[in-house]
Amino acid sequence: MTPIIQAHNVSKRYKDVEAVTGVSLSVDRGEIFGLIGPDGAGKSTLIHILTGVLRTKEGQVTVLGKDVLKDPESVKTSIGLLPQGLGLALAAELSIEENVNFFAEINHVDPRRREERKALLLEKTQLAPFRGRQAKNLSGGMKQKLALCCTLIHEPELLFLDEPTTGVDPISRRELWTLINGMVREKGLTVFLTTSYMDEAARCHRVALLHQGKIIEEGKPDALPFKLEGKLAEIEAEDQHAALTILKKMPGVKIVYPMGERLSALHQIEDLNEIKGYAERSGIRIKQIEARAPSIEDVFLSKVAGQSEEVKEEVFEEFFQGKGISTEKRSEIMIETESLEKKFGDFTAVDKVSFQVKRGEIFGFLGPNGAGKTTTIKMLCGLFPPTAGRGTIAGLDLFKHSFEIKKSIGYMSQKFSLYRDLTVAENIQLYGGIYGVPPQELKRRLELILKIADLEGKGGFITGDLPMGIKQRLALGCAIIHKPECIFLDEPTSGVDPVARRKFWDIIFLLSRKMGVTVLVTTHYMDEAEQCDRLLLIHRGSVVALGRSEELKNQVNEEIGTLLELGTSDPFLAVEILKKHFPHCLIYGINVHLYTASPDEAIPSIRKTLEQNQIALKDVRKRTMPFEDVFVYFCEKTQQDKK
Amino acid sequence: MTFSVRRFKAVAQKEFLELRRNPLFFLMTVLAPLILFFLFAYGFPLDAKNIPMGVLDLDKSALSRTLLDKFEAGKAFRIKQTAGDYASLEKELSLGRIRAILAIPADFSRNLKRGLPVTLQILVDGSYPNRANLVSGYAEATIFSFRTEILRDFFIKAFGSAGAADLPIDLSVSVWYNPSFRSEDFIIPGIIAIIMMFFPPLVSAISLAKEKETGSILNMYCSSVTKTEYLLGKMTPYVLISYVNFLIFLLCALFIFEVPLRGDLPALLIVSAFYTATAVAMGLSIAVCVNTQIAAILITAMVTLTPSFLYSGFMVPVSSIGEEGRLLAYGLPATHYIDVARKIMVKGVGFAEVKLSVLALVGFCVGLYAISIAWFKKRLG
Repeated sequence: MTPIIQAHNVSKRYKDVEAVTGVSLSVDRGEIFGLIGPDGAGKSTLIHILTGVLRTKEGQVTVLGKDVLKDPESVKTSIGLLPQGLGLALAAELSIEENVNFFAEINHVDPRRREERKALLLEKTQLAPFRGRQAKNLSGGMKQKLALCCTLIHEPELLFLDEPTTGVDPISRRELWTLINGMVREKGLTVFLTTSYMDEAARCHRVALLHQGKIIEEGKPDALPFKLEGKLAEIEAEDQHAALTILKKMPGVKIVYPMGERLSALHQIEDLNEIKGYAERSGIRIKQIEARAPSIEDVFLSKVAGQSEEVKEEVFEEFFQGKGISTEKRSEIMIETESLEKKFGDFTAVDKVSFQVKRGEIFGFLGPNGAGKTTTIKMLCGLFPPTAGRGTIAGLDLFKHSFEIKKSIGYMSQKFSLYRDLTVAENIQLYGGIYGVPPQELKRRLELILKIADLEGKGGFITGDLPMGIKQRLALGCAIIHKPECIFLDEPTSGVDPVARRKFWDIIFLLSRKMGVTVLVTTHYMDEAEQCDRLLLIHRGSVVALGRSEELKNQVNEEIGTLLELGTSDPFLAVEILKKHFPHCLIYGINVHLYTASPDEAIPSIRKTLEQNQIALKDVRKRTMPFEDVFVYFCEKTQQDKK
Repeated sequence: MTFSVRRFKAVAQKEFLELRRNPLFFLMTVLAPLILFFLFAYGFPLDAKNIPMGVLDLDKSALSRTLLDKFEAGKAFRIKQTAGDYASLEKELSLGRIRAILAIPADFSRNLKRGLPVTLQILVDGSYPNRANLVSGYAEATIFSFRTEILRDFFIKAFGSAGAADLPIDLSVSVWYNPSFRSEDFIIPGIIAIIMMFFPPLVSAISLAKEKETGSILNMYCSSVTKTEYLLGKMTPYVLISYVNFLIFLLCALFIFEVPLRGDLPALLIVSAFYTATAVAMGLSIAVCVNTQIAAILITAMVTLTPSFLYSGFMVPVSSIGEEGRLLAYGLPATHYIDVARKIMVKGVGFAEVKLSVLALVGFCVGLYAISIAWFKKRLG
């Protein structure tokens, strides 16, 4: 069978930058091909070349047997593209139904066929009840689902998805993937996608890792981890942050990063006891250390990481001119809300939200798109007044002292909050000026922020040209220019690749642990959620769970039982079938996660059910619960309660 | 590739729905042009009225009194100051309190009665040449009419009252200037032309540039819709809405500003339709070349509004623009449209008399769409 996409030696150059260099790849019919890579690796450029939207003189591209570079129009009836950016593909003023109809008309879909397909797609994406709602009034996740329906309405043979799930909450992500998988399985659709989620990479049939315009690894997701150079260890230490700092300095340890409450280390050391000994010689007690099987993310990190310096603690000490805070101060309440409420007309965006955050805590704010996270943060920052309720920040009342509050908080908004056309230094100076930092002092802080953002000596660079990850670090630097006691970060790492995300979190850690800065952060990345001290889950404006990640996991265990991870030949179909017998069953990566109160009795019945449907059960494992399951559980629970 | 009416319709319909639901829609497409129309129509400085004038009457006779009455009777002048000497009047003029000085010599009535030539002096504030021209024009017109009256009186005296009807020469002032000082008749069609050259190109340029800027156009690049279908479909709602706009302007012109419609109405409607489509196409051709909304806005203002305002014959007759400017003038659709509109409305001509200008407009229209479609690539960069 000839491949559906065949690219040979494709290069693309913009003026003096080579975006894509000598890329060759082929994708077979019916495959889900994932392209992963850091920001600015050339993923979008490659998608644009393959879809015939971007011209290049170097290389050959054949899609569906046609030469795309010579005759791009010849393939366009048979392909679909979902461009990057939440809901960008849609006409904002048009309703869900009108959007789908528009794409159907553009592609000459027979009206009867259109109605059939539309009904199916809207039902599968659970958008059917909202047919008449305008696209601009949909949440990010719904927009992406609608955009996918629009690109699928003409039944393309080949679908290109450019970061379809960036900025989308875990629940909507699952729904998107279920839809894509269904189309691949039932209609023989071929999918070419880019993603920055490594669990999604694992769901692809084949993945390629693109770095600096070149494909540096390619293969099946389960084969790729074996290409890791080095071994992995999972470490549980008494003082996670101290251990992190020490192990970063250990020879033979390549990368260390926090993973939930543990640490993960990529190393080349034969005996794990050597690592334990090294840490303990520095006075760090290691509770547990064990080898860990590598994942795609580890390969990604090991291949891409290591070009830039680690963030140094001393820089922060110099910046804040002092060393952290005392233990008793850490028990102070920094943020407190009581029945905080925000209404827009009839719509209640935030419904009686109450929580407390202590000084120096990293407080995670989770929830599906449109749950009210941003609204709550905006109220806390004094950007708009609450409709009802009470709130204080550092003892200052939200209503009475909204101006004074602004001096002690830093805010990094969801969208990029820097001026793209200014240089790096100009942006920093602007923020310093706004917060009234004296000129001499500003000069000092400017240098330090450049160090924090990994931009030493690059103060003259135009901000818009920086890679996403660096921009976000700079934005964080600008948000702390006035040494706030408390910072609010609204989806700071959305669309940022894993390597840059790790570095961003290194800074958050230093700010919290060493400098005593209180951090309130929202994220859709569940690995980041687990790095928070405490978490608040909100759904449709109401609090659905609050506590430490371990506490929430225990709560889930108590309510729905223990987790079984099932390796099957067809996870998406398996979930569909198993759901009838086990209500708490969901997809995770390429595995099925099933919760049951009596796991040992359940296994034979699971095997039987799957075998009846010609699905092989490859293996069953008990494992610790990933936070994504917690998130999905609590959100779905409230959804059912409301029904 | 064949043109699919279905795809064209889908694009046009989508664009129209989006437009209609946009909260700024009404403002951008109807209200703003209308406000601008009235601002221009009421505030345009060409039509001078109540010009304050100082008079130095050294004659102080019955005849000089009649002359001054003549000035007072017209709408153009308001006699503000009659006292004082020449120097004090000059000071008033330099302070801008009066715009003109009429000096009547001491021997005015004596010489007139003797049949000797008399010279009246009119000093006009020339700081705004345009206004100065008008002022002196009005003054001359008034004096002309005064002279006619004297002549008539003379004839009546010589031949009795019947002689007045047989005035040997008809010296009507309207021969060389608008009798009722109705510059509106010329200005309003011009204003319509200028505004139609501003908003329609602006909104159409923004609509395409926006899709390019946000990246939503990628979906169109990647679909089987042809560029002809896409561009024409996208522009159709703008042409239709702008044409409705034009009809509103026309009604305002006819019923509020009482501009006459002496010529062929269907001809005017057809020519205006082409002009509207051309204006939209100007915005389109700009948006095809740029990638951001701000660039589209700036270039549109620079390429459509400004030259049309200055060179189209709206302010200054094309014939009095310098040679280089005249070349530019004929390259502007507005020049041809203003010519046609004025001729049809005020002069009352039909298609036949304006066919060259009409041909030019049709040429602009077809040409701009052809160029836009040719330049547009279903590609990035």
